[in-house]
Amino acid sequence: MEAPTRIETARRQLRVARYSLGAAAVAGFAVFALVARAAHPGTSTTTQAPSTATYEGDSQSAPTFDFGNGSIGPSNSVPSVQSGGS
Amino acid sequence: MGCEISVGPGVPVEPVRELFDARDRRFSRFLPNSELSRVNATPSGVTLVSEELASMLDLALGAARATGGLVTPAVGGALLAAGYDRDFASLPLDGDAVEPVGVPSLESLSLRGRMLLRTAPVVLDLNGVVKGKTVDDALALQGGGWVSAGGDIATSVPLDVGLPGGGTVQLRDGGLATSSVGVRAWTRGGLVQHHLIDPATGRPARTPWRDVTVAAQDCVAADVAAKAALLVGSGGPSWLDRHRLPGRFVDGRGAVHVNRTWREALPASQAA
Repeated sequence: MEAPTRIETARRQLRVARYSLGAAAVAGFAVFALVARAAHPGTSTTTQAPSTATYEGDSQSAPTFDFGNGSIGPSNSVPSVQSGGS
Repeated sequence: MGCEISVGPGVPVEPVRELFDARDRRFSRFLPNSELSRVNATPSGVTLVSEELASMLDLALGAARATGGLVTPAVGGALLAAGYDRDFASLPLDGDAVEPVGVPSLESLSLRGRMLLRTAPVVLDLNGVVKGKTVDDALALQGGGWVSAGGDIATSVPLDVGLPGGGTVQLRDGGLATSSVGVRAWTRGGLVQHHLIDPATGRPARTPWRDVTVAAQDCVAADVAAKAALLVGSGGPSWLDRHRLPGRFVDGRGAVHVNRTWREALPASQAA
């Protein structure tokens, strides 16, 4: 069997280096995508303390605060509670 | 929150107290380990907050928009500058003169889900909504009846309520709250300071009203409206009328005034 020339050896080493670079780039992109997905608040699966409320609000949306109407009438009794000041 | 909590007869008060304590632990500006204190420690940039804080802040931002920016969560820095830097019970009632700081505009902060963005330094203060909302949540927790915290009330049953300066009104349902400049007041450099900041000046509001009482659909709405009407000043009664809210005002001399909506709800003999 004929020994590879120096040029053939150099070409083979170049192919191996290209494959390695490509594989590293693909692996790096995959890791980045997985980390980004895990860190995103909408898809995060990080364990959190139990929550009693699920908030999906958005301060850019239309105003949500409503005063409604107060419902008062005459009182003829001793007050049960005093409205002080806050 | 440093206020007296009471509930209707035959209802255990302990679950309500626990709810108030939990809200205090999360939303207090004065507890160093509260979530709000941690958020305020870095007052600008992007911050991921809990669902609970996001929900309360969204409510506060809604209240700010509904009041034209009068009752704003961006007022924390101005309160600090006025000397309100610790729980009121331990606040020195006199001290050196203070310099006001401006209140950042609402454009300085936005909320997307749990992501809080502050494009300028904004120290948050959620006291405009936390107590009222907690009273409403406590009423839901106990399944009806009534709840009062420091005189801010939510009820699902008719309730006779004593008013500042004397008099009584029946709250049929919903909320009733009183905002006052005389309750949490202190002096710095000989000038009286209080907790209701005028966003236009960054100073405690100069207002003709000592107490403003408002009834609304729930306690948080009543409390926000009372604060706004107090900050509006002499135009407070008509501001409430425009929102179809009954309001009762006690001025600095103790005289009682009511707005048209309040007057229409009560016979003349009980209107004031």
